[in-house]
Amino acid sequence: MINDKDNSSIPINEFQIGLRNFKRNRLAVICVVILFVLYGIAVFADFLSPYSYRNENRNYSYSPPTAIHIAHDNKLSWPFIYGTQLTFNDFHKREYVVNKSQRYPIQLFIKGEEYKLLGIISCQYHLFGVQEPGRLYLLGADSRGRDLFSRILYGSRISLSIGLIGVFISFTIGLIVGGISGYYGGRIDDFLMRLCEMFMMVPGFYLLLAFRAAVPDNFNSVQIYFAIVIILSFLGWASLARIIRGMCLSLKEREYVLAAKTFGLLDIRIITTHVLPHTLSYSIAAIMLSIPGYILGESALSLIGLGIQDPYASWGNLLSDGMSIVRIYFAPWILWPAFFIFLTVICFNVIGDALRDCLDPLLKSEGKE
Amino acid sequence: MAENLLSIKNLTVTVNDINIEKKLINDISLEIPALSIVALVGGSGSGKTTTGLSILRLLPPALKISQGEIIFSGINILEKTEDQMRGLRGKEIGMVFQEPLVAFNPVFSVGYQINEVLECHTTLNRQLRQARILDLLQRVGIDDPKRVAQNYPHQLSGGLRQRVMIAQAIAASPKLIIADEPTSNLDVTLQAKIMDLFRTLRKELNLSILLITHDLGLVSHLADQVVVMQQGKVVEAGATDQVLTHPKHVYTQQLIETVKI
Amino acid sequence: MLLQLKNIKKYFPIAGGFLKAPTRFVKAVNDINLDILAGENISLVGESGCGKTTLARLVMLLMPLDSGSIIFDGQDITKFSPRELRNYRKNVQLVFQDPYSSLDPRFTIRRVMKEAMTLDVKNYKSESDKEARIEELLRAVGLKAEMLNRYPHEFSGGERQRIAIARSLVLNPKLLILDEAVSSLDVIIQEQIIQLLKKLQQDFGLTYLFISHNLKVVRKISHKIAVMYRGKIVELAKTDELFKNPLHPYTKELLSAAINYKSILRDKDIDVSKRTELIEKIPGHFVLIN
Repeated sequence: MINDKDNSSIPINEFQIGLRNFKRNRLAVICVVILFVLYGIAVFADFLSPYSYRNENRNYSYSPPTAIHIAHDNKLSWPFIYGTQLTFNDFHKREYVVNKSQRYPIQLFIKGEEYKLLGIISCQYHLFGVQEPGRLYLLGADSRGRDLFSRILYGSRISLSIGLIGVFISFTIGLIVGGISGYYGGRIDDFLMRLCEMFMMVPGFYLLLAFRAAVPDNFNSVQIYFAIVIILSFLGWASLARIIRGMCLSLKEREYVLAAKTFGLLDIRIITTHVLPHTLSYSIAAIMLSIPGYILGESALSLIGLGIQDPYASWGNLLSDGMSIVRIYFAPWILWPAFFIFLTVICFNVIGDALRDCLDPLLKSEGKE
Repeated sequence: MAENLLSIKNLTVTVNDINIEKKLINDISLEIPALSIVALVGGSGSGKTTTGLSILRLLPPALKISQGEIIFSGINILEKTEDQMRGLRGKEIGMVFQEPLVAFNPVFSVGYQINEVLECHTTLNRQLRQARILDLLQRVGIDDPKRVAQNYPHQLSGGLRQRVMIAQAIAASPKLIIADEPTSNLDVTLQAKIMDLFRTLRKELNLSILLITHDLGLVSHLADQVVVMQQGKVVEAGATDQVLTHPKHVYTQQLIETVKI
Repeated sequence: MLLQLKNIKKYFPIAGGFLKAPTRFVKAVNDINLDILAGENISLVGESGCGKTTLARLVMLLMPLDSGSIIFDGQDITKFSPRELRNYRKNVQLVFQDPYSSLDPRFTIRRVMKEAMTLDVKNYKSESDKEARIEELLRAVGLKAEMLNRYPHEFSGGERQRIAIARSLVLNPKLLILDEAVSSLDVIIQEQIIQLLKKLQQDFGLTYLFISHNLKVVRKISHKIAVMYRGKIVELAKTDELFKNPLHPYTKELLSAAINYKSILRDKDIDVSKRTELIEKIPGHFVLIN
């Protein structure tokens, strides 16, 4: 009663407290920034990349990363690259010889292949690039002379979005199943939980392969993409549903749930407004921690050739190029996608852990009330 | 007045934060004569529980005693070291909480938890301790002490739990018992039984009791003296009959109004 | 006649033995008859575990009855369809003991009130209707309108109980069941809430079914008191009559405990078996005897 004024203006929301705690965790904040950058890159991949994912030049197969020079004849100049020429040495090994007579300055907002920015606006400009016939390979090229940098950028679209969509689907299923199961109990609960266990008892990767086998081969790439998302989320919902169900079992005994019943509110309304929101602080952390699973799942499928098919790029299928030790030896840059997978997975895990820590006290205080 | 078992002089408890200047207890004084029952009465938030915890020096870290002294058997408690305090708690001053389910550790049997107190504060050997536990439980009116001693807190009913809690508090034969709302969560019939128990224990064990409560009705039937607190201050104090029949302060009058039937 | 309880029974099985087959039953509510007249507050008093909370929840039909019927407005509500039941629940509302747990901690007070309003579309058509009504109810329970955007944890126990009462009035109920509604509050707040309830009764034409373990508390608000013991009503009389002339040994025990804080030792256990019957000893004063 004493603090009448300052309280009414700022209703203290538990998420605001959580957010404040979260901001204290430097590492997690850095990870959030990194993820934002990665997702930003995915959205503007076609603008940021000098070439499209299918632009190939077989004369530059496994070309090493192009060196960018800023000095010519000991004079500082605008960054440029030299032209290169593929030759074979005495052992028939590919060698790219630098031809100093050809200079290609790196141009900003260069006109290149046409694409649709954000899927709507037709556009020809790329952030940077070089004039043909020069080829700019920031991170080297793959077997068909496609720019690995551009392909990683395009690949991030698939690899990063698959996590979000997958998590969305599996959490929707998990929340619905867990909520119904925990709230109603009895036979429904028994049935749904046995169903969950069926999904959980088969080793994940085999189930993944089995589902993949059930998908027809003649799917186009978009269909395959969605098939993979659905398969992955089918694997993920069960464990979440079980945990949500456990939380609902105790939450439904709360008196405010009973109070809602005395008003005659519909069950579905009680579940969605009084039961499930209280599992949110747990779910958010769980969501973050489970996204890497989807990214890795897609990578694994693509790595063994069951996921996204060439010429479309995903981080996993880019890595499949690196399955031979010989190629890794002669063209180590084809492992770059692994770095991006690693970075993303680490970021999600760090954020998930941080969220769990800062939402934990809320969970505890909720238990008390 | 030399017979005071405990006297609190000018005690002030503040929030331990430089930014907030808030006194939870503001300059209170009270005395508990030996072998008497003193009731500390007030609404929620009046600082009565804080006072009880101050006597045991068990205030949460957010609070600190900024001023005053608490003299127990002629010694100022506030000057004691933490080690000496540990010897005092349980041995000289016992505490009974409002919610025994919270106060007991759920993973040990209640017998084990009484045994802990005895182990700390007495030199009895194992067999003697066992006998003492059963004796204590019988003393607080438990018919089958053997079975109860083996039970876990959650297996006991509310009334039984409160009795066990009292048994634990008197285990090391303290001189003073601080009872913080010992009956607020109990049914009236159980409440009456626990009050009966306090009356008999006081006679048998020569106890003094500081009874912290909000129910003046309870006070009128049990306490010798009453101290009424409101918002961290003592507003009225005196012999029970005197205070209840001739209340001077408005708040006391309000409290008395609530128990009239 | 507002509500009539006829031979209500509710037994809870105690699981045990092979395949959790029920071996024994707890007779939580054992053959209870009770008439509630409009405007006549009635109190159920008894120790914890005597079945009074179960009875309250049965009246709300929050759990199914084992046998018996509840007559409201001439109709047996135990035979209601879910839709009719929702309609019935508008007329009978429950206020819980613990105001800390009966309000969803994630809901602001405004949302708490509006949630209940979604069930009565006829009376609350527009947003302004709702806001006006919320303000009116808050004023009725002695709270200020600027508190609406706050969360339950920002209120004291007494304020929360006021909110809970305001919420239960949203649907214009005829009967309000108060399950130990003041037991967790301190005495002064208790007194305030009881005065508030008296005032609300006049303003809104309510009838209260008050449930408590303390005879002293219910005395101020009830016209009639029913003493419950082990699932049965052992004594039923007008409030003054019961206090002046308690007939049943258990009632005497309760009275002594509540007023003198002294327990009466029982020489023999109180018999509530089949052979006992509720008999009208003095006109309007019923007692359970062999």
